Amino acid sequence: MNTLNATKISFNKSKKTSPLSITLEDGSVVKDVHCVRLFPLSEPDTFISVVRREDGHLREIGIIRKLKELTSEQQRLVRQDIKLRYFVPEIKDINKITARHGLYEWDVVTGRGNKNFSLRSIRENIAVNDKGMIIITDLERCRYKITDCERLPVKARTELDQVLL
Amino acid sequence: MEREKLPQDIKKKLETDFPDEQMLIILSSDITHEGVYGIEWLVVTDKRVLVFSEKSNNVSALFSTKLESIEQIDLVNLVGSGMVQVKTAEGTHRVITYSDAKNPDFGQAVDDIKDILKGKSIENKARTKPRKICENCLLPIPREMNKCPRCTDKRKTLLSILSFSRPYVKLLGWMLLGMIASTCCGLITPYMSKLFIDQILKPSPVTGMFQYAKWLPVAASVLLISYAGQLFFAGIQERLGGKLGFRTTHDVRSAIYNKLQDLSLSFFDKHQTGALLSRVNQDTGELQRLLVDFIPLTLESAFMLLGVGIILFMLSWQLTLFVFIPIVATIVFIKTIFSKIRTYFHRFFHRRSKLSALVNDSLSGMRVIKAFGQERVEMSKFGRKSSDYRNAGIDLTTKWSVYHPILHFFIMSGVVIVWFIGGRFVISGKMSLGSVVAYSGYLMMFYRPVFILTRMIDLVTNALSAAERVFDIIDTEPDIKEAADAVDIGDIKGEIEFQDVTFGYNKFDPVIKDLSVKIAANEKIGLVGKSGAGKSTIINLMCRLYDVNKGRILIDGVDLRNIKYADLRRQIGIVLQETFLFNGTIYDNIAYARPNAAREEVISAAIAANAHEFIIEKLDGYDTEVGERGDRLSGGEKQRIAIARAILRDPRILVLDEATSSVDTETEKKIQEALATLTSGRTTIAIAHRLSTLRNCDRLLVIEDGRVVESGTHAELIAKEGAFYKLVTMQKELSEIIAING
Repeated sequence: MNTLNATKISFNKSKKTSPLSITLEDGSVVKDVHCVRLFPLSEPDTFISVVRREDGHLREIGIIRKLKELTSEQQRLVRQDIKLRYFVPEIKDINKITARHGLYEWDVVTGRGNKNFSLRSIRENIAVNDKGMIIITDLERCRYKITDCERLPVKARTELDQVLL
Repeated sequence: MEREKLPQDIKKKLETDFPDEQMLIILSSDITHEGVYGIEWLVVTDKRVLVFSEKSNNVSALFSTKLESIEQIDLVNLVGSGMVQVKTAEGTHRVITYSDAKNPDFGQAVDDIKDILKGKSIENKARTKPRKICENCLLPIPREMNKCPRCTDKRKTLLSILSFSRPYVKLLGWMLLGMIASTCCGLITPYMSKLFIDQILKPSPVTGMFQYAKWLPVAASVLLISYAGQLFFAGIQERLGGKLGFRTTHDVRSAIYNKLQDLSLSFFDKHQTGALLSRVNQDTGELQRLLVDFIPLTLESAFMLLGVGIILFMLSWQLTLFVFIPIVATIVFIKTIFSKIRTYFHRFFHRRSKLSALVNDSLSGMRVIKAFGQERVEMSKFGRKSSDYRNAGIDLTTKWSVYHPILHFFIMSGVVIVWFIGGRFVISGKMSLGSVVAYSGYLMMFYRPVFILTRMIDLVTNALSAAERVFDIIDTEPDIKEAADAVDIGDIKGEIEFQDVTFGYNKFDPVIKDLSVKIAANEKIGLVGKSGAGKSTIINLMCRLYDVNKGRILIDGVDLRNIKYADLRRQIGIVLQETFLFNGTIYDNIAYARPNAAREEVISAAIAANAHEFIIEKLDGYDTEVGERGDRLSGGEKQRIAIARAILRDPRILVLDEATSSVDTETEKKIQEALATLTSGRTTIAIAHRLSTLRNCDRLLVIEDGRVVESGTHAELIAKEGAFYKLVTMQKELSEIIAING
């Protein structure tokens, strides 16, 4: 495993719309890189792989073990890149879940704004893993997650309890 | 071309800044460049590409570039979202982000922009359907559905179901008659108790004699007959209703299964097998419950409600007004409680099935569990799942034990009201004792339909949504359709030509790129290349499991799409890498290629495939059961059965997807011999891994990234020391390493 020394690398972003570039330990610069989570669900902030797409394939430049080891400014850049790459909003609160016309209509607050979406079936579209993390896939194949039910407000938990199997 | 409606201020800005430019594409995203929900606009004019944010007060473009400065434009698929990436001389720009829901729209837009850049007119054939928004509720319609599931008129669904019942109209009529007769008989019985109490068993106040005593046997007989009649007609109704329901569901189930067989493979790529399985089994099961149980029950209850209601009013309308209080309370209670209790039921069943899935999983993986010594882990996993199930069961019974008595209390309080209010009416002479007894009898009859009808609203809605899902499949049009003027090409020579073929399973991610190749009749072609290069895709296209996106494939000069489906299939034989054997005998599995083949032909095919020799060793010979529940055959045996299958088919064109799995040298030799027999005198396209196969090919095509990069005989390509040489040396080194270590 090619680990990157978090203190000896630095990320740069030339413009708002441009991808990241990375300066490695030996001073070489790699342009147009992005960050891939190796454990996007179970441990999103550790083991971040820095990759570059070349000829349609991903080439790994190296792995950052812990995001926290980067300086706060560097962390901000990487987190921003990751935020754009992973669009699986975390549900923070549930206003209402209504069962209507054989669909479940959800009105939720996510980390990325408010959203209404619909599900066809609780059984097929909601997956709960052993650690209690919930992944929801809506009618349009968009995904949402709830990392820890216990952290939801009480009312949201009651709403969830009405439908969760 | 997608042209959505731009907000006024952006439109004004564009009109003032670029007055003579024509707007070609206007598309809205649903994620902002900061990665939160919000709208941004992609605008493409005939001169430039722009992106606007909807929120900003002074409208200025987030991104703007002239068309001529774009070097490359691509779609980048991310996790749950995607973005359009533009390369200019200044570097790479991530222009606009969107969620997966809008992926196809932006894919199409990027394709269109590429066409604009090339100066071509925008392709208007084979476009992705834009994301549909329901006109009625303004919410998106799922892509795989044709109509909005929220706004679909449930009556229409009911009508489509009933259209399946049309062949059984007579049956339906008789069933309704039976129902009416049974209800009428049921209505007589409480009234008889009134007669008993008020007339027959009442002594005359003057003489003290039972003056109607002689009617007792008659009344008893009437009571008996009405009971018997009720049961008899109910039996008939049940029998006919069952027939009707099961026949209709059978028809629907067959229709959906036949449809699934007709649909193209791309449909199965888009849908999970599990979801389809539940459509065929569960949803049609739900439909069956609707037809066999719910609809007859609803009709019966409605009829009963009406009949009993009228009688209640006739017996005493004042009493009925009082009785309505607990009835209304019951209805409200059922409505609020049952939606809650239903979740508890579902949870209970869901957890039970999860538990059994776990047991199934761990029992089939017992060897691995033992080998890694993970028994404890499995025990604790089971313990967790089992206690989940236990808790769901306890929850359910706890809730039920509260609700159930409350419900009964409401019902019984109705009876109490009858005796209390009715009793006062009797004392004041407004009502006879017999009427009160009859009344309480009718009241009990009244509760059942009230209960059923209240529940039915929910149950029928659910069953109708299940039915909708079923009709969704039945109404789907297959992607690959036989052309109206498709021809029978008869006996072919077996020439194949790929002309500029481009194809991707996802239209915007081509796997095969501008592939052109010509294969002569009886030529043996070997496809070589790394995994993922597109070899299997070429074969899939050859068999027309998918249609090409661009270009065409010709057989003997005729476009594949103009050949009758059955005719094409008859010409092509396939031996797949992973031989799939159906549950059945060895004989069935070989004869699958040609079900009407004579036994001699099947045996000859097996002999030619070198399969006969191991088949005769089996206890049951050709009758040996194979597949999931039968004998397990070894990899080499399965392959030889597949070869026998193809030999029996006797196709002009043969497609081989060679197995990579290693078999011992002896078996390898047998398979090679069998393949030699099979391929002689046919056009053969083989995905080749074995050196022996490669040597026997007339020509090898080296595939890399969806294109042919080299072609020639084995010797020619080795001499050339190009891509093929590299592949071979790599493989050789690998096998040497294996040889040394093994």
